[in-house]
Amino acid sequence: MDCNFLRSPLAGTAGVLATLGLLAIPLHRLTSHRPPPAPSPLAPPPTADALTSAILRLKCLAPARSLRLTTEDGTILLDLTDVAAGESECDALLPISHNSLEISLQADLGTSTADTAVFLTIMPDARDAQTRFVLGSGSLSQPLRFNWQSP
Amino acid sequence: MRKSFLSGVLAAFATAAAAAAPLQVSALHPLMADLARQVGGDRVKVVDLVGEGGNPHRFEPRPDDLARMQASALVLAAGKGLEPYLNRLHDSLQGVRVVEVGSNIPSLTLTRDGDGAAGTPDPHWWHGVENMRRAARVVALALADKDPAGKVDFLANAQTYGARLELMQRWATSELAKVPRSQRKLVTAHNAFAYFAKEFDFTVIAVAGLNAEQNNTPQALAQTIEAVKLSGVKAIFPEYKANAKVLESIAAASATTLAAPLIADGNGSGQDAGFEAMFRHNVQSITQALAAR
Repeated sequence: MDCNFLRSPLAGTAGVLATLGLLAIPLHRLTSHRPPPAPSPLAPPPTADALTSAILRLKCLAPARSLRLTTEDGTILLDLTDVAAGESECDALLPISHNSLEISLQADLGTSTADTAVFLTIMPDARDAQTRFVLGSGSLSQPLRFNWQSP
Repeated sequence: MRKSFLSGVLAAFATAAAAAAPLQVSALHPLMADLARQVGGDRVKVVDLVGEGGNPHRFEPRPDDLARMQASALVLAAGKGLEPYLNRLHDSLQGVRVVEVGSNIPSLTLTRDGDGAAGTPDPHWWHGVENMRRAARVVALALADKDPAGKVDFLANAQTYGARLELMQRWATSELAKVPRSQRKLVTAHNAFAYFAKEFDFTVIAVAGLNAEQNNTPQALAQTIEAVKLSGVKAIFPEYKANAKVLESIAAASATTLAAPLIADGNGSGQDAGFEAMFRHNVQSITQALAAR
């Protein structure tokens, strides 16, 4: 077998290039290797950015022994005892999501069997005021749903 | 000993004087001045820079106004773009907080305006009674920020004022119920009543633009006359203290009457000064002109 071509300059260049090519594969892997993507986290926990400042206006037509407002995630917005009949206002941060919000209103209206009403008006920043009410007597627990158009 | 006693007495007097000194609040709108008085009570001294009867659309602070604002703890503006000079003012009033009272009140958008402002927030939010109730709380909290000892008073005053406004709102609903559905249209010289119209279920047909001084083109005027004729409305409303010439020609061309003027910018004087007086004046003008007889 004639192996003279192996000694030719062309074959030498090809050999060097092939060796460099073989070396380049692991080098490429080393320099361009990216770690596998971390598993995507679940929905981010609510932050202060996701909360909307609002004024809450509560109006009780009759005195209540206790009154509590909670959001769907259990955050207590208001927890009052011995509430006089009348109107009061406070500020709150509300988790309005997809333009809607559910607030649970729990009230102990005492032993009177006469129906009375509790009105809740919510005025979030840059959104219209909305009022919902609960009607009844004794112990009440009712979800109140608020929906807005995009501000 | 005697010297230290005297300096102690003087220091006590100075502290008492400082504690009793009311908080100075400057207002860039007559109705913001009114709000500050209603909510602040005796604890504030209000500087109404525009002045009773003044037009907040035309107001630009002068050097002496700047000096008065610099001497204030707080400056109240209506916001929503009504005061185009506010950015410059922030730079000039280093350290003095400027509160845009209407900034968090939901905006309506201007739909038609001769000054190219269509699509921008309508700044006349004070024509909504509910908006003014909200604004009272905004002012109460802003005052409390500067005078924490007065917080309970400010919030109580805002609540009392809010309760009074609620009664006024009920009165207005009952008065305006006298206007039949077919007449619940406000043809006004100043496109300022959208918040009122929304709250009391009226439609606004604005003749001029945002500012009373704007002139309409002949084509726009012809369109307005046509719109008034089509609406079948009985009366149209000039603006308080403004030239009603354009409205007079529209009234003549559309066979309607010219009603008592409406106050658009809280610039009423005397018995028409302040929000409650302005609102009552407007409701009475509308009811007298459009109610069924």
